Amino acid sequence: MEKYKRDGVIGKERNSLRQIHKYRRQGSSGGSVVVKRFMLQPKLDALSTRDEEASADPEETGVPIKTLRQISLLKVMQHENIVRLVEMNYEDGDSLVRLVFEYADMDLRNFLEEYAAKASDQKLVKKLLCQLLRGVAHFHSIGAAHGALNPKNVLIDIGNENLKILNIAMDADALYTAPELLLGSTESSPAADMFAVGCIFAEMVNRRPLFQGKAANINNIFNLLGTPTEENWPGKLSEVFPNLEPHGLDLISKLLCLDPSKRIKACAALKHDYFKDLILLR
Amino acid sequence: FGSKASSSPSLASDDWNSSSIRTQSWFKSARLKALEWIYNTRAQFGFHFKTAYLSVTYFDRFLSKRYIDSGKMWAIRLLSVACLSLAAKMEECNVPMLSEFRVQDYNFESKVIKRMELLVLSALEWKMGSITPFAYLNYFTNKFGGENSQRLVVSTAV
Repeated sequence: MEKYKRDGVIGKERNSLRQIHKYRRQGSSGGSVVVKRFMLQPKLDALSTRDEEASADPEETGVPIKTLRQISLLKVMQHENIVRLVEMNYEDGDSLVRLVFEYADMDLRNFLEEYAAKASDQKLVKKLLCQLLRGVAHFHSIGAAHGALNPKNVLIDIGNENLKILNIAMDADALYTAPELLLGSTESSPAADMFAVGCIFAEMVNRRPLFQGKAANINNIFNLLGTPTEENWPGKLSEVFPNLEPHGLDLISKLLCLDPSKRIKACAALKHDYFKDLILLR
Repeated sequence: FGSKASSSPSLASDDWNSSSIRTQSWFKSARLKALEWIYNTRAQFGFHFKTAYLSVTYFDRFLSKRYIDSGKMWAIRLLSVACLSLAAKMEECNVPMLSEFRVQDYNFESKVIKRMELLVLSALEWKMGSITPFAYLNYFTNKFGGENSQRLVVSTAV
């Protein structure tokens, strides 16, 4: 680890008290990385959560299923809007796995706070949302879901206004959790990712979290979006986003759709009229 | 197990050229036995065909990077078990315990199989996903026909 120097905390590991640190690369290459370390043993494995594996003897199951699937997914995940896995080390003796991901200048939360003037540019919001959706669409196209999208793992490079999604097993933030998950569904899904995208979009537009408070609860969501009948839709959305153009309002209502089966999909959202006037310089 | 990756590609191919015909024929028959075991065990556990297919690709990919000495049938057997176990973990909902994989003539301890799994993973750089035509089906049906025709095309294709 001589190559990297610790440089701040970015979050907490899922189902664990361990913090995830940001590191600064030493030497000429510069730049920041995120390092995730875990033991290749189901009991201690942060990637495998609460399943039957956890109770089994590690030697009996061999390499844990979730670790295997997640790392092989990370290995093939190559998209300009998804944070790249830079290197993976495995130390045979102590079964320690170390994943090193690239990082960007800052996360979206910091960006909205520290670059308030820049972040209030609605054209930039559109550009960032488009990149977010592209990254999410890539996850979904390979049959995966992110499961914990929130402004802390959406990263921004200030200079080129590039957005990248960080995908490591971090705690999901309740404020971005889809209603079906709050109501007891346990599996993360592409539809739940889209709800989180809606919350993040809303946060970019208003520069504050859509659902406030220590823990978002179902009442907050129903207060804003109406109780789950499709008739009273879209509730109070236009009041919450007075400055958002009509197409944006329409997109946000489709992202925050209460019924996961009717919620807009990532590839459809990218074709939404909201992005019609977006010219991406690539 | 030796590593081919450590020697230059030309050296590796020299190894192959200089190896006797007898070694090659031993190897061919060993591979055939391995495939046979994988397909039989697939049936026994009720795995999908894709799982067996995937384990054979792991098997061949491994041997394109590392070599197994001629005559070491136990190593071929152990490799077959590790490849099938890994493929099952990638593809199947119900994955057996390592000790449930039965191999003729040998009795591998679970921790030995696990070590072999890790050897395979590092040789294959943990790239264990498989690309099948189905992975592209949605993409192309979307491109060609839009979302409405997707369900129809997919159900017809499947």
